[in-house]
Amino acid sequence: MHEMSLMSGMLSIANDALRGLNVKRVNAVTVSVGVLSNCLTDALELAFRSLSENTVFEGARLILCEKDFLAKCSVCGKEFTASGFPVACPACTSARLAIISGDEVYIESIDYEEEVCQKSQ
Amino acid sequence: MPKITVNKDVKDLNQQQADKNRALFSECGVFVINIIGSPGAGKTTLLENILPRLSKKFRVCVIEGDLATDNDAERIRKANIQAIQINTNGGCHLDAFMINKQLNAIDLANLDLLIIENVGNLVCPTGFDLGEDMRIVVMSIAEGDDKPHKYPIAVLNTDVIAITKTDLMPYIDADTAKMREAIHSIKPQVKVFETKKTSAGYEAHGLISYIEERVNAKII
Ligand SMILES: Nc1nc2c(ncn2[C@@H]2O[C@H](COP(=O)(O)OP(=O)(O)O)[C@@H](O)[C@H]2O)c(=O)[nH]1
Ligand SMILES: [Mg+2]
Ligand SMILES: [Zn+2]
Repeated sequence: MHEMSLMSGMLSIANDALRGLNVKRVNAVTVSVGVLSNCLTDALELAFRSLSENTVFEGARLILCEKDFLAKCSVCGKEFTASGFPVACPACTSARLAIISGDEVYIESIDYEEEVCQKSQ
Repeated sequence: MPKITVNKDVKDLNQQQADKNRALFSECGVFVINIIGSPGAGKTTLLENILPRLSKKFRVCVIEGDLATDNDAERIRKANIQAIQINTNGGCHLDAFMINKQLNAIDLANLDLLIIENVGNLVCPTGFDLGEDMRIVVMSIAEGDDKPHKYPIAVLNTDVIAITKTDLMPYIDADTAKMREAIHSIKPQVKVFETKKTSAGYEAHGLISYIEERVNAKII
């Protein structure tokens, strides 16, 4: 459910990004998936397959790049990679933190093939 | 082969709208609460029971988010409070755009407090700011006292947690002290309140007083 709605948001952003470009078909879509995003890769894959049907994205490869959980200590300011919860700052042991990254899911880039224009030969 | 860089997060678009909502709410002097919790955690029951007291002091309106039906909005209207139902038809959370769309049906200039009950889900809604001043995550003790450990992002992205249904403690193997400990191991600064049904009615005094304090601090 979650993956479906995120993927549909991502594809609408991707469509906007491709607008005005001469796209024949999309070969690959690279997506950043933070470890805290609660997204299952299989469910993202399935959402992509079903939502891309009959669009330029149909048949494209979905490349999922897992992103670490980066935290910043709210007490001493140290930035560090955390492995899970509960988190303790490696410098001062505080549990007060802000997420820098790791909860995001978004399209990084799109590889596509251009339509070859025949008329101008 | 051409490649285009996108790097645009759906949540960033939502955030832009949430910031606009927040600015509008501030301009109109409206305090906004976003209530998040699993289906059946006791969100609507909590609302039904805190609204009579809150509506004595403040002009209140409620937005109810659900996959389907307007049952929850109906429950709120029984207390003579304006309630607007949003059906997401399968969508697992409310977003800032959906809230904005409802605002022309609300007289913001003559409102003090807007309470939004999000779609029953402890995962998806946590990443979507609606423009609220305060978020309340509702976790019932019946869901188990290790719930905070299973949903750390929900804990991390809130300032207030209501542990509901503590009247059920004698019947289940769960302890509010353990739940508090679990919450504070993830985020020490979260304010925790307990609520329960008793033969004398519903108890949520601590939470109500805290809400009153926060609303007063904004609208006065
Ligand atoms: N024993 C007990 N039951 C509760 C309490 N709060 C809610 N419930 C029950 O839990 C069920 C789900 O509550 P509801 O408010 O609809 O949950 P929501 O899905 O989070 O809005 C209902 O049958 C309520 O009567 C409580 O404090 N104690
Ligand atoms: Mg409800
Ligand atoms: Zn530190």
